[in-house]
Amino acid sequence: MPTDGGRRRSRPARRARGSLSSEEILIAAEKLVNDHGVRELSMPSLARALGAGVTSIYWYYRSKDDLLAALIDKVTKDMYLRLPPIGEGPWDDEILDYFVAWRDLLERVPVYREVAAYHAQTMYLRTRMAPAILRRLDDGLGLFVRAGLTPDESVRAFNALSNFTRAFVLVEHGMQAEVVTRDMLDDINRTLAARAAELPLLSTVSDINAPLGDEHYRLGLRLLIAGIKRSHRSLGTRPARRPARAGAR
Amino acid sequence: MTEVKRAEARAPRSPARKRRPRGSLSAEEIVDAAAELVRRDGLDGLSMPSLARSLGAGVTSIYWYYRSKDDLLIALAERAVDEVYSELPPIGGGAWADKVWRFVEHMRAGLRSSPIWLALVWERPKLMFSRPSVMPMLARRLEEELGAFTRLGLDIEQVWQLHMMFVAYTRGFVLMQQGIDAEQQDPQATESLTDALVRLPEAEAPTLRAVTDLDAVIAITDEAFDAGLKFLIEGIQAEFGSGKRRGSSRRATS
Repeated sequence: MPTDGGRRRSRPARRARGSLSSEEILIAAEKLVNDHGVRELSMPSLARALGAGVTSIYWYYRSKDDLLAALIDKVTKDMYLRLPPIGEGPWDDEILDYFVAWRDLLERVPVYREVAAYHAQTMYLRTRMAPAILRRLDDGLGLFVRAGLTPDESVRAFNALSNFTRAFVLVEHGMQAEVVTRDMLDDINRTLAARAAELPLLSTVSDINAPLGDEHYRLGLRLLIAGIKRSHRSLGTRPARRPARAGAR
Repeated sequence: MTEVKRAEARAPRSPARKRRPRGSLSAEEIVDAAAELVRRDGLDGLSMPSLARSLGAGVTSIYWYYRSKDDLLIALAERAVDEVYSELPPIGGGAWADKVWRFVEHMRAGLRSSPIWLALVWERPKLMFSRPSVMPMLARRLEEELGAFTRLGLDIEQVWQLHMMFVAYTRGFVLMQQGIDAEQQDPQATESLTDALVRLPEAEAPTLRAVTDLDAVIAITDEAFDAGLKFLIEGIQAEFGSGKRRGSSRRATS
């Protein structure tokens, strides 16, 4: 919206030199990604949004990569700070709560989703790993250790839950964004009905067009947790208190 | 027809480019060019005008073959499904868990091999399945997968939920992998984690310090995908218990 307005006015008033700050640039970049997606982020589009010259942005960020790295840094820190702390309850309840909360955040704030999905690894790598992020990561892993897994086993379990969550949110969002017409849905149902003999199971699904939602996410989460338990028989048989050896180096 | 004319009048802005002679286009050539555009700019980058420009042809000549962008997407999908699925081995027999494992792995291999197919099912899943021409090969495999689940004694609605969940995991994971491919791989990956740990007081982050492979903390790799898939299948085993028959003896001895 501001972009449009800026465009239509013959010439947006240029800012005075030196009135920009790196902070302000990042806030504008975040807004741009929130509104239009990470693909629309460019130095010119950012300059337009700020009503500044492209050169003044380059003064703060030498390249789009630099800018993106700073944005990822900011967004990752903000995101982790907004997650509720991990509590003292049973590990499986805590894990469930943790990931449900993370997913909600990814759903609600597009820039978080974009960063977590498209810059999945950079999110950690380029971030100057703020202590807050490390502590939180460690708390998450600690839940599994408390329940009896080794640190390496905990990493695999935690990573699986984390990847599932990000993957799910991405695909769910893609489905929600599709413009679906009544005709398309009718076509799907008609094709299935016509092939019922060949597709006895598929053709009996009551609502084949139901979109992905909470119930699918929670199903996956529940199965992952059950699978982690089953793969590590020790889980659940030990008290959820922190065992002494977890502190050893 | 008038609408088409108007579209043409609006479209190509470079008069310098030489127009092709009428009738020199072929459907195949159009789909080739469309595939190229999608590969480069994603589905958003494909439009009738952009396609006409890249072909050096008028928009009208494209409309003669494909009436809409959706029709073009379907043509791309038909080709992708053919390429992707003719390469894949059949799912084959065996225990339900093995069949599900193979179904998911094949789906992943297919998506991984064709960025266009990935983009299509990610952004236009309903369109893809609304056309009978795209459906048959997929539907047959799908039916086999669903059949594997029903052996667990689940009803079809539960089975469909499981399927949707696996689809989300697989497509999303491949999308993330593609994102990583597109970024420069950062060789200092683990170093930055290690560095960060060094900056923390030693009493903090005890678990991370005890991890031998810090790469695994943030891994979005084939192995990481398999690890998740394995947990999911184990989870089905645990929750919907094939345990009734085979697992019970194991449970009794443990």
